[in-house]
Amino acid sequence: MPLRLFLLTIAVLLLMVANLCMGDVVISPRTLWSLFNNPVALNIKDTAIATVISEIRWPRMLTAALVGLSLSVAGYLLQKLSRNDLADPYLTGVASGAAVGAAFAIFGGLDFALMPTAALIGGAATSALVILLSRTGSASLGDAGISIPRLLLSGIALSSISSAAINLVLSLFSSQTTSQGLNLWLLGGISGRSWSELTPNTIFVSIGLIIAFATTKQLKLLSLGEEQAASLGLNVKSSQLWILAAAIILTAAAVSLSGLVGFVGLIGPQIARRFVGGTERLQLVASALSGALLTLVADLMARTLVSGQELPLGSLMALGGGPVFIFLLAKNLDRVQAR
Amino acid sequence: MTEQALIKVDNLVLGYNKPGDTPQAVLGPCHLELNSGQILAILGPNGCGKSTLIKALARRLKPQKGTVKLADVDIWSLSNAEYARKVAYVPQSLIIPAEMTVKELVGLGRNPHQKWWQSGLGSADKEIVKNTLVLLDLEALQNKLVTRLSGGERQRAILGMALCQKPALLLLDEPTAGMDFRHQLELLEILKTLKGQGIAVVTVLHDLSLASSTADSIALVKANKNESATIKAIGQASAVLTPALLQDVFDVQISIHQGDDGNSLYQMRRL
Repeated sequence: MPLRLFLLTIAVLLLMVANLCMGDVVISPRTLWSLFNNPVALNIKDTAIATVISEIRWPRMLTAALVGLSLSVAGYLLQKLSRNDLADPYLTGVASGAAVGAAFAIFGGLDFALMPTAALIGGAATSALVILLSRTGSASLGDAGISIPRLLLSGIALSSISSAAINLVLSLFSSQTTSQGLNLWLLGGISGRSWSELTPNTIFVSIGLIIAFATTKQLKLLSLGEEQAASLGLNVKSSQLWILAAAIILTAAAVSLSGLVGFVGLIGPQIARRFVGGTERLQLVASALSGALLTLVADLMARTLVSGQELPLGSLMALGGGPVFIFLLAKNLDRVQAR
Repeated sequence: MTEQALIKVDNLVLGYNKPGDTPQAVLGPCHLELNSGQILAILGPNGCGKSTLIKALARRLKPQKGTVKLADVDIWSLSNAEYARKVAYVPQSLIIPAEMTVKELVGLGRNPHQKWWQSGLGSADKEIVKNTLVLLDLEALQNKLVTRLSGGERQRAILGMALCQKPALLLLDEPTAGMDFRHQLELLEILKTLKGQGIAVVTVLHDLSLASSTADSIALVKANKNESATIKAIGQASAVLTPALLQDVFDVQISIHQGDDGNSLYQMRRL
């Protein structure tokens, strides 16, 4: 429904402004406007605020939006691909693999700035393994490609193994400060993200989004089941791989920026599908918007709820998003039953 | 039948392979041929392998032995798109996402004729979709969600998708299931129209009267104890739907009467 999509867009834009204005120093939207519109006339105090906003709040706000958007679109792709409303980016093992990559980077003595790259490599390696494990062995199915239940199962298994490995490493090196850094990152924090970290990830996210939008027809055909999609002329295996590739790239980019922020990949697409609906393309846009909305709200709360202290984004996401989701679900239940 | 048979099934043995098990044949060996513009009805008791046979034609099941050739080409040597431009299959049931409308579903039938990057329908595609909706009496339902339709309406929508593929061969697995009488008869009228357009149809049917009045040939599949099922008889209704053969295949006593429109009526009694 385009009206709801429009409302969602407005909500995201308002939250973006709110995230720029709110924080330890609160400014009004009017001041924000003048800071950017008329920088020459600023006095010294305003110049300091302008720097805070352009160097800290802007990249952080964009990071939050980008993380939510990526995870939500990845979740949407996986939910459609697996025809399972419970699928989310973490089930494919991408996130935990990325975390292992990051852990390697930190304990291998690599520069902290290289962590996102290491996370991407770890995520991609785990996904490759998951895909390899989920290839269907049945010849009688013909070109059936990847077995989605196997994909989810092996994803869960690899996720558990990765998490266990990380916990082991964390407990062995618990005294070192590096493990604190890793722990903080794992909890899902996006503080201190700078433009230099944001740029490469934006490129990855763009690539993921382009693939996602190019494969909406394939997604629709696959929603009829792999066999029927093949009967309608689709090359099932390559379509599945492209869609998975998009989901993996988006998830890895998000995880490398923010660590493990759960829930948004599960709920973002649910909101999009239940409350916007429409064609796959519309739902994809709606997923991106609702994901950004969720992380923007969560980050705003993370920075403002307790003054002078920052809360982990991942926990707030689950604490805040969970009840909202349950409320929406309960409300929507009546509608489903009324049908 | 002539050399130019559209579909030619040779020495086909079918079964479901379980990993680790020795392959067990369910049906076969069987042979059949069908020309363009002909309707073949597959009849037989439950579980005898009618759907298995149609799945093999629909390329959902790889043969254990033998070949299925379409215009002299093994169907397994074609790409998915090549195959889908020639053969359309309407399965007994289909997963349909909650948010898909009838028009959207029917439009998906145009996929084999589109490039991978084409996501919308061109004007020629739209025309085909529109005509199909009219043919199948689906115009009034086109913007409804498929999941909210009745079983029979749903079946017609799925058939619409198959017809949009503009196939040379249409495979139907119990297409009349869930349809009311009017739509059953209308469906068979549509099959005759398609036949007039030169399309070959293979359909699993249960109703003997409908099969004998619609099909050019009938394949009777018989389940055999301790061995795989076979095509007991294949040919025109008058030759295949005889009391003796029907009793052998269905295990019931069947007597045939002449209806006032000249069609055969079948009355059955327990043995």
